[in-house]
Amino acid sequence: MSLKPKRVDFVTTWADLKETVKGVVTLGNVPHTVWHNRFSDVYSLCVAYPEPLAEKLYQETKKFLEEHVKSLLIQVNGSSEEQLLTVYYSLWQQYSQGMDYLHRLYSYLNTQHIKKQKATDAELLYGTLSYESPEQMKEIGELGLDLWKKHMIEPLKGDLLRLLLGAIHCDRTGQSLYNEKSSTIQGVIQSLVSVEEYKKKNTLELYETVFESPFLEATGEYYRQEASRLLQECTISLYMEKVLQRRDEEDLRSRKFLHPSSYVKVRSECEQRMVADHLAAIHNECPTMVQQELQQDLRNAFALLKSIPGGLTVLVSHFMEHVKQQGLRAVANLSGENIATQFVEGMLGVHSKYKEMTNVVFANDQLFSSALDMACASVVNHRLNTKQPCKSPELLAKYCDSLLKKSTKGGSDTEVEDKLAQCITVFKYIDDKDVFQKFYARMLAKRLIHQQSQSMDAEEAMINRLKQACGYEFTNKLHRMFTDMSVSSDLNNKFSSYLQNKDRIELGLNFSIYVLQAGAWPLGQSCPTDFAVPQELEKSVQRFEDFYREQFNGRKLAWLHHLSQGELKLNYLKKPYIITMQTFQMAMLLMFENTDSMTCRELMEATKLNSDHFQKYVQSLVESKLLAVSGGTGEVFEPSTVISLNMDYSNKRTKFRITAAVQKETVQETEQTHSSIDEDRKLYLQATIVRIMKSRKILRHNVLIQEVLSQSKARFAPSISLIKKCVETLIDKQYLERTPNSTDEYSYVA
Amino acid sequence: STTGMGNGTSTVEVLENNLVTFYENYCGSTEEKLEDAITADGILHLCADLDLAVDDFRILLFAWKCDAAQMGKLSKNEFLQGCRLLGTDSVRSLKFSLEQLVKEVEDSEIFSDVYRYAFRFALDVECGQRSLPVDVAVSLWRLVFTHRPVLLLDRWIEFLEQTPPPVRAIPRDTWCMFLHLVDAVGNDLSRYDDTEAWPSLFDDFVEWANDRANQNVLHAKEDLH
Repeated sequence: MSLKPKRVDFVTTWADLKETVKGVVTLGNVPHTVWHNRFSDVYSLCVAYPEPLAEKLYQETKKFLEEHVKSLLIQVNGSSEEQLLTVYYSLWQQYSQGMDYLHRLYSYLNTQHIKKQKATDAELLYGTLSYESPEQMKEIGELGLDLWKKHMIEPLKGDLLRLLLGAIHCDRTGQSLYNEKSSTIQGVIQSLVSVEEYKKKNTLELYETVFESPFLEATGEYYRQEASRLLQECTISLYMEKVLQRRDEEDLRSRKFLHPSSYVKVRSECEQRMVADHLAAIHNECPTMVQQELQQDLRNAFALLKSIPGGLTVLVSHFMEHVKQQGLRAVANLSGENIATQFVEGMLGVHSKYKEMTNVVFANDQLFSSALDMACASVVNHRLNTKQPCKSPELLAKYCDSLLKKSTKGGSDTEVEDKLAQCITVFKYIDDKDVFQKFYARMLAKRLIHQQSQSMDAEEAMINRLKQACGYEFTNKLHRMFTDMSVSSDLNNKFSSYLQNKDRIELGLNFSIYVLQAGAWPLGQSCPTDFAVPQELEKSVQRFEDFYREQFNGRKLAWLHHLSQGELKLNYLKKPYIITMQTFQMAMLLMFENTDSMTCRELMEATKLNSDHFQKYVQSLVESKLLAVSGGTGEVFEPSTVISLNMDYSNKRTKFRITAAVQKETVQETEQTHSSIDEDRKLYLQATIVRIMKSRKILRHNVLIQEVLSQSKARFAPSISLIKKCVETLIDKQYLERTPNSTDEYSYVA
Repeated sequence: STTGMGNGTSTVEVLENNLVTFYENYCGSTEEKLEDAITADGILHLCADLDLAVDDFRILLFAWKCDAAQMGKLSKNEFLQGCRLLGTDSVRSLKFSLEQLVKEVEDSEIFSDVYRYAFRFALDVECGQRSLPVDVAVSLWRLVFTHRPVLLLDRWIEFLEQTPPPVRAIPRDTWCMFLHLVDAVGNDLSRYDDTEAWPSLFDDFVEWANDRANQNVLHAKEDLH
């Protein structure tokens, strides 16, 4: 064939073409050669000489298609009510498929003639041109869809909607009215989308107005009734179960019939009618569910309420209150031997139980996790008496001490490790971390000095855990205590080689010391009593001081004899004993080297101990039966009371330790710890306030308070009144002043 | 004449001469002459001449005008300067001036100046005091408010004297803020807001006062039944 424009007789060519078009849109049999020739005819008409006939072709085709669709409508209308959807759908299938072919047949007209006249995409999207202008030519496929919309859907939409809603209602109730196939319903609905899919914008407009919005309304109405029916029939527990089931079914139904854009809308309609509208009823049931821990109900309530904005609040707050009550029941009013263990393990029990619940029932939801944290924190920081400090930090430190100390009852290493790791859970909830730190440091000091640690690895691991939870600064001192221990063991080695090198000095005993940095250890700066070092030890003490001065010029040593201990071998009894005891006890016993008895006055003068310490230590020796009181009760030691060696002493064991009552934490010590914490806090707050004010120069009262609160949160929760007092101190010391003419603002005094 | 301004040099000279004589009347003892200051005895004498008690509000006003550095002592300079400011050179005119002054300090700003001065005046700097012992502060409060009735004052003083743990000293800031407290909150303390920058002692006071008020209400109810 020739591509050259030529004269074409429109009437005859169109007559042939029309026949083929009819065949194509009804999916009739169109032989390949015919198709080919008609394709050429379209071309010939478009390029016809002397003038192109494309416009005419377009108009004629449009007229034909219009007639065709109208005839199809008559066919649909002629079908019975129960057949209507099926007929519509099968004609739509045929027509849309046919239009697809026809579009290709007219491909030359589409691409060469119509596209050129069409507005560009940009003009459509951003310009003022309306796509719907009637003069606008459409490509043939689009023209076909548009005609279907105008001449089929428009007149039929009421019937279609009524029948579709009916069919879906039947699907919900499980009845079937006209027995349409699901694919038919889905297809009819989809046709509302397909018919406008070629549009550049608002492609879902027809679907939404003709079908979706009345459908949503009907859905809402259906579930409104369903909800009130269910509420009358069943308990809230069962209601929630059924609602979840209905909601999931409706979800599946959406996927079966609707366009994906509707899924969320349908779901939220269901939730609105069955959950949000009956929120009060579900909320009313929350206290019972929570208190009785009805897992299935809780899980259902969570699943339903989650989707309603603010719906979970009531459940969350009941959960929090419940955990708090359970926690307080577990750890308040403890009594008996090991309160520390009861407290920590009780708290951990409650925590892990509800942590599990948060995971399993509440899908680890953020709201419930933080409610759990808040509840646990309020239990851990609970005070029976607001005037007294919270006991928890001290109890936790004691519990750690009991795990880290050498003991017979302790479990396996891994068990202890696990328990220590869990301590961190409780630790994180503690407000007054500084209190914990103080107690922990004191107990650690005792373990280290008296060699009571079960394992140094465990000690170190625990400190690292604390560091991880609270930062380097928090554990700095604890680390330094550790360093001192290892430095000291080096120092002891150096000391013994020093002795060897220097005139082969013999001390006559095994001597080992710890040198501890004053700032890092909670020990006090000096020995709390005078003490005359026993003659036997004098040489060692003297030599060590010489050695140390030589090594570290300028450092000052303070001997803490009250924390030292020694081993003494007793040779005056039936068999020899080796006894570990405190230095003060040892000093007293050594006084009996040359005599078997002496008065308290003599003993006190020789040891130079003050009366308090003397009483305590002499009593401990009498209680251990190494010393005896002649003619006294052994309760009060007058200066004239005569003390003598107990020559009849015997013990099953030959190597042992005298229990030193002084090692136990006394009430006094605890008070001291608390008051030193108070002092530390004041200093810390004052430093914080000065730091803040130095950088901000002028601050309003409330801003300053908030800053201080947030900066000290990691260590402790200061009371407002304490912060205020520190501000007042600083005003008094002239670090700060009130800004002139304002009573609510402070400024930094440089 | 009460002012030397514009009246020619002679009047000022007369005033100055009179002033020195006036001063020397009260600076009698050898000790006082040595220090060049009027001390306790001289002050007592002056008060007697003025027919005023030592703890009279007007004496405080005189000290304020003199800008006296501390209680119980008036240096020559302070005395002369105070008299010059008041334009007075005799007991009679001083007594008159002090009466005028009482009226003058009815003005809030001037009063506030006197009030702040009173703290500095009462502080025993030589003993290294930084804040006033509570008993001194209490008398001082009663004194400064002589002509300015403050309903809150009795409750405040009762609080200071009663509460455990005892309040020992009043720092300058607390002293100064008390005047603001009086101005800012109602007599029933209803306008007190403990989130503002009040010294913590006021927080305690208001809590104490409210507790007591509530108890009174309770008692009153019980009485009714």
